[in-house]
Amino acid sequence: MSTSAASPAPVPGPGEPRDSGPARSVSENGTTPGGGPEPTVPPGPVATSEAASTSGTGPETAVRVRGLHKSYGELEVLRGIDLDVVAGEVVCLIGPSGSGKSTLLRCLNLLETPQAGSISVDGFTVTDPDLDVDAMRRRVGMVFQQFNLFPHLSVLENCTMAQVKVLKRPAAEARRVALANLRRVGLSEKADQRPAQLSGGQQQRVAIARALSVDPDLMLFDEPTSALDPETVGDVLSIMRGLAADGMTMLVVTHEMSFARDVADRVVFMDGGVVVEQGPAREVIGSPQHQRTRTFLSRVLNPTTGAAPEAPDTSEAPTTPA
Amino acid sequence: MSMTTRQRARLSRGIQYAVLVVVLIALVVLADWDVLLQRVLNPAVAMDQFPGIITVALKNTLIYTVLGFVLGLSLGVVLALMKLSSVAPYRWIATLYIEFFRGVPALLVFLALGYGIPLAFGFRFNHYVTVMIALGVVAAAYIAESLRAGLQAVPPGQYEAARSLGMSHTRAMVTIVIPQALRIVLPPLTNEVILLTKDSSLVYLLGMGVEQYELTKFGREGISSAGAGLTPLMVAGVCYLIITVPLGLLSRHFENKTVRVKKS
Repeated sequence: MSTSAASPAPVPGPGEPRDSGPARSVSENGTTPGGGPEPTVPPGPVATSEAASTSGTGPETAVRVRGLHKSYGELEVLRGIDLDVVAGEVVCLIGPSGSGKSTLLRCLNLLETPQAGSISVDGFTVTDPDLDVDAMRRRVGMVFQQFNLFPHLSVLENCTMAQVKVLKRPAAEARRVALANLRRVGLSEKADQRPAQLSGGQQQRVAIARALSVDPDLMLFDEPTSALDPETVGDVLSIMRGLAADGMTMLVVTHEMSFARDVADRVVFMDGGVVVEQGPAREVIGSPQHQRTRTFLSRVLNPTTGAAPEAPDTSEAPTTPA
Repeated sequence: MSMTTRQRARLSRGIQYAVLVVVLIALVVLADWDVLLQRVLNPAVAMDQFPGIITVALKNTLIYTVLGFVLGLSLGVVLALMKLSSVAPYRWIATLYIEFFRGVPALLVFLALGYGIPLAFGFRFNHYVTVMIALGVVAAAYIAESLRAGLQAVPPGQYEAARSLGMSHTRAMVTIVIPQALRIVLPPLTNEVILLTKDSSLVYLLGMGVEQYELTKFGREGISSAGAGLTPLMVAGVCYLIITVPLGLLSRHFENKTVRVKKS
């Protein structure tokens, strides 16, 4: 585990202005207390964002999810998710595999179509059937676990293709933007190579540069370091720290707990398709309130100790913040 | 005296070489080369094939192949898209079609079109249309399967990444998925042209005028003239090779080399 000293990003502690998340909420079924299906609220200031209004970036809602349900046939993957992300916030989604974190992320830019609930992202009502999907996706960058670079294009072309074909930028400008973003991820000298010539970590950094090249307002990271060799994970994470420090709104599905603790403003723990617990990163990871969170974290943080130390049997009892 | 395994292998290989050399010498010594040449590769008879074998037969073989490929590719694209469609009946129809035409001999299709349909319905297509349909409907089944496999071989993450950058479905297919699928599909598609070239010989079953002869029919007519021997068929065979060998090399070239689908 790295320490926060390694992070160049300003890491606000609890109560500091950057800590813009809603008051910490914990509930047994994962929904906010009393939170049934709520009507779609137009994007704008939300009730819980009074803390965000002090952050200087304004109380702009980047992501607002209400009562989100998604199932594949009989398998219910998301069972009523509520989530708010304020512009400039870094939110890490953690939880065991199969908990629905990636599905939630993929619903946000409609790579998966949810069955029920409402999503608004960056001012777009994603769940509106009349949505201009492509216009929404232009504002939302996505980084995949498997990089998904285009193998038949050079590194530079990977970063210019969408600019030219989608944003209709002139080739010279697209090239300039692409090179600037490649410089940002430290790979401008690889511009003319093919993705296959790069290591996994380098490919993922190119994927970040590619996503940044269309100037998104929001970045979604779907387990960006899970497919990497351990020695290249750090490079990718430090790029992401830099992005967070520059004020990019980020939603990160990750198993990197030290990254979540050091960089995230807020951590959302999901299990079984619901949000079990969320709050400031250090609090959720440092002193989780819910038994399921404790079990998960002890497995992730102490993988060698085998079974999680069993706390008193409170898992089925309603848990309230201490 | 015992031998090591390697020595035994070397001895065995030596014996095989020796046998081959003996057979070769026997052929050279014993064969009646004058008669063989006379009957199989008679230069005079070979010269008699020209220029018709080029200006008529080779040209028609190429025309038939192209006709079959054009229909096969067009129909194949439609069938491949049907097979990948989210509409289930489209998939069923495409599957039924592909399984049927891959399962019956091309000869049967030719007979059906050339004789069956005229006899049953008293109605006959134009010669070139008949050839195009007969070659095309069978080729379409194979081409559809190649195209489907190629499109499916492009990882779904490629399409998702393209869409995530704001590309439309069509844009993502044209700039990201199809160029990659093309790389995968070119070798089997080239092989399909080779198969079509050879299958065009089945046209000889259909009755046709002299100016419509393709290589096989031309050779068939050639050997019936007195004293021609095998030579006309040999010349026709060489003409097929002139088409198929370069295509085979091309196919291997596509397989080996990463075809750069560079944008302008």
